[in-house]
Amino acid sequence: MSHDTSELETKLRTLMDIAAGEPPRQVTVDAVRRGVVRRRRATSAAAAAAALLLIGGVAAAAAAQRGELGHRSTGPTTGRHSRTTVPGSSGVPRYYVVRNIIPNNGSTPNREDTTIRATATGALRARIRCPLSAPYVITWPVAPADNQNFFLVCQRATGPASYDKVLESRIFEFHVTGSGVVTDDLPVRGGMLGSLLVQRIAATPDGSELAVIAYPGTHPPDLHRTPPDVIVINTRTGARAIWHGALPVAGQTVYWPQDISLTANGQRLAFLTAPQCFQTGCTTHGGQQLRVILHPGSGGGQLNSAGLLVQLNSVLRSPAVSVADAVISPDGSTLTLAVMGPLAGQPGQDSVSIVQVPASGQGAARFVYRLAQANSFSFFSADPSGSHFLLGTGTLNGPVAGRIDNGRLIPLQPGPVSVQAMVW
Amino acid sequence: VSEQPEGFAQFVAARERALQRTAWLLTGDRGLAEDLVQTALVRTWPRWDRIRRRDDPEVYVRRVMVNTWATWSRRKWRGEHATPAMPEAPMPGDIAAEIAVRMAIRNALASLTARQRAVLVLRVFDDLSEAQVARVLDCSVGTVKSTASQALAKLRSDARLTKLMEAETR
Repeated sequence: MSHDTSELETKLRTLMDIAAGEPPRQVTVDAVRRGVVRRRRATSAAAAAAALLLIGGVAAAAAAQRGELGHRSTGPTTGRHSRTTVPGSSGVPRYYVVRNIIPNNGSTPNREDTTIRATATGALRARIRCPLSAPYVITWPVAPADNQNFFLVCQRATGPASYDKVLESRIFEFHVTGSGVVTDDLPVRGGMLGSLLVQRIAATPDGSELAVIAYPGTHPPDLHRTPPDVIVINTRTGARAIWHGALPVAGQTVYWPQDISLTANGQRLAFLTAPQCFQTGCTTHGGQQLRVILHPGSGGGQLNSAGLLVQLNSVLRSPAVSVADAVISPDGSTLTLAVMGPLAGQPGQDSVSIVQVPASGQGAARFVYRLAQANSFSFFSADPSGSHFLLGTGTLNGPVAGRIDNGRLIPLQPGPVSVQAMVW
Repeated sequence: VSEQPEGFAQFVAARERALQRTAWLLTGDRGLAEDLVQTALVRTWPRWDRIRRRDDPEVYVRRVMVNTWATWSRRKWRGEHATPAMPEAPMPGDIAAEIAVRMAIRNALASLTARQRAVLVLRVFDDLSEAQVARVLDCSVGTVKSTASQALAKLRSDARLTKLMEAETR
């Protein structure tokens, strides 16, 4: 090679070196292991599909030979193998999932859409679609496992409105790649929930355990008078544990869940509840509480038997506040609360605050974020590490939605008016 | 799958960033580069024990990367594209010069064919010998030489890159 060429190569190498930069450490053995699991699952699903097609073809041929009508074989479902890893990404999640409304021209109902967007730019990267084929399918709720694996509840309904009946609910898992592509819509083992209406879902970071709040969906439920169940699903075995909400009968205080969260090891399920007393003869025990079920996946029971974790008004030292959402940290030591109303020592009546309190109930609350003169709340989400938060709040005329970063709320796309919810 | 092949974790820990840098030069996109490395490693995992025994693992991984990228780049991407909006967080230091170099290199490499690009990245950036590049790309040494020569000739005609290289000399 000539002198000129080698000089050119040297300069080019220097420039390439500058251009390639120092990439952040994103590809880990854990991520590769998950990729291997997904690849094997996809291969076995394809093999199962091919086998079914073959069997269907042989059966159809045999039926045709007998002069009978053939029938369509239904698609295969894949079994899940275990996911054994717990990713430990400490950075801000690269993508978030948004549920937003797409307004129509008024003559037809608004549509709803679930999309993946890049945290850094707000750029739309992918649209989430359910594998269920039906005119009305709700692609929500969504829960993150690690930062790039998500669980999605697909709900087939009789119509587009929130009061329409749910005919079929099914949980799927999907993966978002480094470049924001959605892959692998895989049915979750134990995730066929019949005609239940699913309102909330939580997952452990390794995706081995899920919990959902579900209502009977065979008729439009009155969510204020219908006891929900919490269903805990072991995604490795498909086993379920059902925790029943108590019936609203006289003399019994009921603890129905408003939101749920799991610790990283799946050994604790915390749920936010406002004790209710439908008729006389019982008490609401001083307002909202966070209750906890130990080993929720090992066997079901009654939600009323869950232990009291903290009495929220007491731990917040303020009787006039309402907790809109609450999550337990992955290690179970801290509770992060979205609080509406004036906290002790804070000026003004209208505010929305994100505060952290020890799960023991002992110790001071720590402010993560506070927005004064805010009187509406639309959503709150913690990432799988429990250290990054999304919040939708503001006023009815001036909503804001974004991520909390060092005490500031950084707006995220699309604008808050159309956003119903966001999760990491 | 829970059985992790021996030495795999050490290889990933040691070489992941170098592979990502090569992948960026092949793809010109950070996210795609990460996907490419991840995919190559996923495909390498099941064969790791065999590769370790009889071959240089890095040569194998790079071969998978080049072949995978060749397959991906033949597919037409019809999905959404990111908006050109800048990230919200300011980055430390003066990054204008670095961005200029990055853009120039990306555009210059994009003007090459996939084979020319792969040869140049492996030969010049990864500093593989012509014989090693030939092994990765499954071609003759002569083909590597001629492809590298054609690629360099093409880059010489890139005015923006030439200007940057002159500045580098000064």
